[in-house]
Amino acid sequence: MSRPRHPKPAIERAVQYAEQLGWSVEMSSGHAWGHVPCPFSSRDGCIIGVWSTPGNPENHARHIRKKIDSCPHRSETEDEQEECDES
Amino acid sequence: MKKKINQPCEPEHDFALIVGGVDKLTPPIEDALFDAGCDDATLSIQYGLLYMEFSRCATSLEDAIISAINDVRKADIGAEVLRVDECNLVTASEIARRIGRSRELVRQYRTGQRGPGGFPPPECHLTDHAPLWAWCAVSYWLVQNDLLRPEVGWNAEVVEAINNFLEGERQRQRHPGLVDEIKRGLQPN
Repeated sequence: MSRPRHPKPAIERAVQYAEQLGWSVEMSSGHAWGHVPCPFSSRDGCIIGVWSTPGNPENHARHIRKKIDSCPHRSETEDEQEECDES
Repeated sequence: MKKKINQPCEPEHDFALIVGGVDKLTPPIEDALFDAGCDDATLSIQYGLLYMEFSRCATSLEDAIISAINDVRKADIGAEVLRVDECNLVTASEIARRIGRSRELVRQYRTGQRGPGGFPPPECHLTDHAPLWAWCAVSYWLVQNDLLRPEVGWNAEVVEAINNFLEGERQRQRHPGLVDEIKRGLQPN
């Protein structure tokens, strides 16, 4: 892993979950520890912000996972892939 | 209103705000929102809009949402809270999902085969195969008939009232005289 670990374990696990699904991680500054951009081609700038010290790390980690799981571009890309496979 | 994490936490409320005027996450924007009190929100950008997912400690959902909107306004980043991400118009399937019951049961409520009858009629798309119901009206009926917890019905009213207010503010900005014009044209109810 070439990036620094997030100091809060729950958030680090959420970031690793994103990486396992092909999302990348960009480091940031200030209160933002980093950004996690959606990997899909039609992403329209879709990106998730990761705080360094959120009010509640467990909630923040839960939100990050929820955003990843509900990313609208994943299904769009899957639909496009299915269309390509069919043609 | 909102309490910090190191203090005893009142009930926690999950909701999301859709915010216009911000289409990128940058350190100045994020720092301003964090310092204004939005450290309990996860920020993301979707469809060119800022999406803020909150888990906020407050005595009520109403307090939680209003304090969150005020925090975004306090951040002074040129952002405009457009709405709470909760849609009042729902399909029958969505009603079933929201109450955790089957679509068949909802159909039976509608037709009066189950429940006390008097299920609210749909609100719009009446000529489509998928008419839409107002969740506030449906949840009110469910609460009145002891089929839904009262706080769920109340929270639906709160969210809808806040969204109507926000939309009203925006509409007055776009067309300042329109509401007065309509008011003058309509006979008193």
